[in-house]
Amino acid sequence: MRNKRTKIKGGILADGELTRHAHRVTVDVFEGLNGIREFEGPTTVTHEEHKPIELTNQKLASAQVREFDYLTQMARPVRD
Amino acid sequence: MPKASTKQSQASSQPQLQNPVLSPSPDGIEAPKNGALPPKTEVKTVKHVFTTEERSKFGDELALTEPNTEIRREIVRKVGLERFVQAAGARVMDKLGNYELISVRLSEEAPDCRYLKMLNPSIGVWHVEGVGPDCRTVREALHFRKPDALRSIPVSDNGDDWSQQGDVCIWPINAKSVKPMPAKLT
Repeated sequence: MRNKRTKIKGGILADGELTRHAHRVTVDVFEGLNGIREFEGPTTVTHEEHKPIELTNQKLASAQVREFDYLTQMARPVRD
Repeated sequence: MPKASTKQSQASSQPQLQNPVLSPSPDGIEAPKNGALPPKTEVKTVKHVFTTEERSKFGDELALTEPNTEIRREIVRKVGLERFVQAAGARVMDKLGNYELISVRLSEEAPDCRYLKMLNPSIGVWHVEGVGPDCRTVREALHFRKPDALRSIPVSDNGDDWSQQGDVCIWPINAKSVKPMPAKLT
């Protein structure tokens, strides 16, 4: 499955569909078929509306939180 | 479902009338007192919401039904979080730090919809997001919100540290267990 990973431009972990604000790191980011984005520290994750977080020297995974939509009665990844 | 916000500091010297979010509106809903201007990009984001002619739909109901969390956040910024929570008939079920698990009556068919009210510690903005109907505590709600891959990792007080920046969680790929709460949250 590893060789199915896609490199994500700009080191983006997630971005807002309207604001285009993005959570991004300064190292290469890859996305697997499961939607999980993987990268390797040390690096810093930044975003226009959040303080940066320093990440240590290890292999890391990232994904977006989910929310429950009571109209559809389904959980889904947060859209912003 | 709603992700909402009010900014509860700063302000009077800022040009509020130039801001479509915080300007007095013809529907009589006033801007939050001491509210602050959102970043310019956020104004751009919500402009179409507040220029809609469907003023009657504006407000609490719209905040609950808007699917986009950024737009929802701005609707609740306009309405005011406290007003939104009160108008929606919210009941606080649990509190932990800057988190509150609330139950909201959306309709007769949906009398107990659970949301997590939380603070963005970086910019002091409140959010409200839907969590599962089985969540009874803030901790359960926080666990519910994790992405699937992180939620599948056992939780332990001695587990690996993980981080959360806004709606993105970051954790060690090889973690066998993770701590209940993020070590870093911004």
